[in-house]
Amino acid sequence: MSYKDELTKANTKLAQNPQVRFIGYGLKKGRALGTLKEVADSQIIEMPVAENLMMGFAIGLSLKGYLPVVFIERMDFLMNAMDAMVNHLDKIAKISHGEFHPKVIIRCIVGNTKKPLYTGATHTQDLTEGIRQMVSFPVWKMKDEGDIEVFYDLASKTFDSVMLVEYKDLA
Amino acid sequence: MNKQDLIDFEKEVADHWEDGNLPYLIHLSGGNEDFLIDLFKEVQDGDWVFSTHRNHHHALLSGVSRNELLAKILDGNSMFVFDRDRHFFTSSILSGTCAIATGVAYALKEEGSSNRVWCFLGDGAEEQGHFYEAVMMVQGHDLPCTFIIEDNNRSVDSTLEERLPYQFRFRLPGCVIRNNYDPTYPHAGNGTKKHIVFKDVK
Repeated sequence: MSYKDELTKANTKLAQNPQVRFIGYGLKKGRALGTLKEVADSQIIEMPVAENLMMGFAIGLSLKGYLPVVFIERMDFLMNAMDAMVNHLDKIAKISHGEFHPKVIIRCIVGNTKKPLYTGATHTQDLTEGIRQMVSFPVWKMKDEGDIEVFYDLASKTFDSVMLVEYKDLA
Repeated sequence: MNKQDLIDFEKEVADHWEDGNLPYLIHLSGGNEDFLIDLFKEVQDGDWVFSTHRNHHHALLSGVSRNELLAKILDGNSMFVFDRDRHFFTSSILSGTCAIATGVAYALKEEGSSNRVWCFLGDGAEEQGHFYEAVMMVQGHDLPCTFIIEDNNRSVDSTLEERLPYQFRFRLPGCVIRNNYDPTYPHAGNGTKKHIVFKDVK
């Protein structure tokens, strides 16, 4: 099965949890590069192009018992969400002494350097190592199709937030 | 919890600070008691309150007990007062709660709940872009969320005129209310500069 097909399968499986909500922009039409094509509209929340809002919004949904999956279509754009991710999502359990423990799954795409074309220096950055320095939750790279099912399953079961790094060049 | 109770609580915290019992950063509330007491009459059981670094009044009016709050403050958590059972949440990152508040409000609406979210910020946080993103989301989805700007004309120590000489403010929509007040205490500490914790620092 191809990398993209594995992603579609994994997200379809994730959506079997009725508390899952996919959060992002362009999702209802673009379906996250087609990987949400089997997901019901009712589980997709279309957002303004405002990554920090998306991440904070996801934290709020999690506080209410949902399992939000934030889709960041380029890792470069994640930089707009750093306050919500680093200062809040990653720190709330600590500063609240466990009173609140939000869990968010972040799907973060590293832009294409080859397929179908090079998209430029601000759309292709792989900042994974830097992000790992900033947050305490796992940041997992899915380097090939064999990683996807394993990491998605772990992401759905772990108590903590998770970032899943996906590569558009492989899709 | 009446006005004098709120004032007395902060005075007690200030005394602890002055006596050197609080080797932690504190931000004291004061001057906005009447407004807050009226506002909290609207807050219902099950509502969510998102507060800030200056949260003592909000916590007490949300039902956090005096002793419980004082214990948290003396333990260094003045800026980190949380209470899951009372849906009381804080962030000391300016405007950091605004987006989170929208997510809770969205969930309340999706559930058909009659509860709502009350999200406090100051006039410094009002200048953060994250606030406007959240306002857009609340207005754009008609979410049950009210933002309350506690405007003491001070961002740390700077007045609005000092920050923005033409004192520009956006015209804000219905989900935002503003309370202008004169603060009792300075931005941090209690203004006496008698804090003695650092005297032994070499």
